[in-house]
Amino acid sequence: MDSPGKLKLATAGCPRNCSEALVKDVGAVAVGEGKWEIYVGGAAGSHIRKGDLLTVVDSHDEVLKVSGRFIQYYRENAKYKERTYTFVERVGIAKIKAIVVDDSEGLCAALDKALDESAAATRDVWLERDTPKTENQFRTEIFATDEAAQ
Amino acid sequence: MSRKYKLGLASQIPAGEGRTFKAGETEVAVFRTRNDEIFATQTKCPHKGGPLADGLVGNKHLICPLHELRFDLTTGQAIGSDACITVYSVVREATGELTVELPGD
Repeated sequence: MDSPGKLKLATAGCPRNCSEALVKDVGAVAVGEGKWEIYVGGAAGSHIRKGDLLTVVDSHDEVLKVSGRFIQYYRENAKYKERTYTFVERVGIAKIKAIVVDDSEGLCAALDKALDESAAATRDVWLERDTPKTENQFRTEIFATDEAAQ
Repeated sequence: MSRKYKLGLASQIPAGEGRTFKAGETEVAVFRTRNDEIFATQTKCPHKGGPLADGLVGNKHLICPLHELRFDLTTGQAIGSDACITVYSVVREATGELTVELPGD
């Protein structure tokens, strides 16, 4: 699935957070009693930023729903190559929260639908290894013939 | 004296992409734009040697995949920079066969 920038995701089964989900584009941390915290906009490379808490949800399905909705909002509104750590700061976590959690602009149904459609249309790109999508897709060099030699 | 090399059919370069060709000892990056125009340039970016054939092509412009230097494919002049790349002339026959002309070696 295409997105404006790469997305690094992590999920942690307990608040000790071994998978470092707080510093991922999207991270989910189990905090007990079936609850999950969802963090967005984190980074831990040349740019370091702790993710913002988007919301706390009550079930695994809700984690997928809300984080998917965030990803779709990011896909539709981020600039090309803009990572979530810049996007979240530019738009503001309060606004993102209002839109994807509280549905303040009534966009949630459309976001969910668009994400489902993209997911359904996603193909395994590794299949192109056997059936290249375009001619010479994996050729690094094509040999030309010298006209004088003919 | 210049030397001509046959590259084969234009169709072996997907529209909007580029491919590297080896013509004698010289490597040439050949691009086919989405408007079906053909351009040929040197293969390496003068900035850090990026593989230009893997760059993004749009509207007669080429963007190097490494650091996004932009070039005008018609002149080889970089946009927003003093750098420039060598461009070669390519002729397309009615059959779709491409021939590139390289300066004497």
